[in-house]
Amino acid sequence: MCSQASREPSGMTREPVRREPSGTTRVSACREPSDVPVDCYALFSSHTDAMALYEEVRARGIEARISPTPRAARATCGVALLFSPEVGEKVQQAAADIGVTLEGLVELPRQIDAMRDRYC
Amino acid sequence: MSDRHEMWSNLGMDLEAHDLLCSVLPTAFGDVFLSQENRPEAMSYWDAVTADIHGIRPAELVEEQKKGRKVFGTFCVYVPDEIVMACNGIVTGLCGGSQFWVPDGEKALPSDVCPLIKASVGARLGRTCPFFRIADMYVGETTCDGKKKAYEILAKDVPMYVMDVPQMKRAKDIAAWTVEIAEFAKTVEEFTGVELTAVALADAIKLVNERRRALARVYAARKAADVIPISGTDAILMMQIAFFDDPARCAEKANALADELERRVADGVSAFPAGTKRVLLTGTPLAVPNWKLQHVIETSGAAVVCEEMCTGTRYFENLVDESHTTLDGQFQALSERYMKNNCACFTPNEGRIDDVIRLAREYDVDGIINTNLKFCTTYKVEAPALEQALEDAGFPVLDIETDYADNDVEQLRTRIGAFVEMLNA
Repeated sequence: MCSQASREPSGMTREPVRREPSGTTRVSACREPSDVPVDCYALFSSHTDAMALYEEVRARGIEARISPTPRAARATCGVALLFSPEVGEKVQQAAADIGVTLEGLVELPRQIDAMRDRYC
Repeated sequence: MSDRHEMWSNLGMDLEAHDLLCSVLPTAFGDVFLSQENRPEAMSYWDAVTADIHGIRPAELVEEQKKGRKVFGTFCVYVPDEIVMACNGIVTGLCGGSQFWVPDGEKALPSDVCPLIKASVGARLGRTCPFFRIADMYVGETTCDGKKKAYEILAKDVPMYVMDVPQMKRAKDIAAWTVEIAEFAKTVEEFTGVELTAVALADAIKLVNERRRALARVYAARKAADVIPISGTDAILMMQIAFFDDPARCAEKANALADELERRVADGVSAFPAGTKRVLLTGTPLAVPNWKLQHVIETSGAAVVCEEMCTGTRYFENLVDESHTTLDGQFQALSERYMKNNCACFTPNEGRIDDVIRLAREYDVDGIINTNLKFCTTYKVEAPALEQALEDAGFPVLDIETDYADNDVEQLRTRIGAFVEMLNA
């Protein structure tokens, strides 16, 4: 799991959940069907932290990618780490091991659609 | 993430309007780049830079300005970066690749001006581009009529220097460009307060050549006949960011990417399924974040393996002769190198035809897409001659005219899909 964010039973709607390091939870307004794939985004206080963790998790063979921070997760431009919730605990462990503080962990329904055709 | 709002506010940006642009970038970037499979690991650098494109590099530029360095914003590959760098200045690209900026540009320009110019002017006037706010001086060039007149608008509130690019390539034109470079050097010296020396210019020439070699290495890996180690969409992102990045870091990162691509070629690791048709894209520049055409092509069954454009081979082909030890000799060497670029602003421009055919063969392409931004007259007028020559050389050609808006995407998908289907037949 990306964080302790809950999953609803199949067929229910679920809310993307943001887990703050302090344990407080921020819930975004959007709702998606539970069968939509879920991605996890780690948020950082600096892009150097994001790159450091990216390099560490890749060295450990964990699948992860650098991503812009989705607007649903945070209201500023920024660099995030994108990974599957299934490797969330490993990512958090890697962050702890190298001393990178996560600003937050956010689970969101899949944001990526190659055929959306909406450009900047 | 670092909050950039204080910096943007200090730069006099319209934070509310700029936030609208920030809101669409993550989705567009994810759709175009993160939807790809099997990307080179080294692309993570460009992913991070683009994710915070109005934050990371602008913050660096602001810090350098605090040390007294001057930032020169440029629009075109004809402006010799080496001169600025030799005077301890910094060159940066400027915004101009998004539909977001076009409406603000149309407040000052006719609507039938190319979107690159409208977006550039709009980014400045709308105060939604940090690079336009940071640059101490803009350096334009006379490569098209639209830009020439746009400079007059931009010059109203920012120091603006315009280089007079010759429109022909006779010996006297190259000599004239040499003089133009020397005069530009005087302006840069005065503006930076740094005397230009032959030693400093030699170092700058070497550094920019290193950047050219590194970018060329990435492209060379794309020539592999049986493997496509990187998508064209990723390659164009690298090129787009090169205009903004620190040149030494750009060379370092491009070399690291080239190392990986060369390994992928040796190992047979491709970003596309075997048999994917190879396309060369030629035409007008694709300024960041204009990813529409590359993405449509590469989600329609083909792969772009080379870009013959200013945001492509024209940026790095041909090195400046490093052997000169006097300023006069160096100005001449710079002139000769820059005048080898084959832009549609020249008449005649048969060199571009030769370039495209040469590159099509070097990159072993199955077809060529010639694209021009709407209202770019010079490229549009020379398109038939180019396309006829390409067909005569045996290459299928598709002509695409488009802009930054999303509303022609379905038409593009239909036409490009049919072209790819024809290549596959």
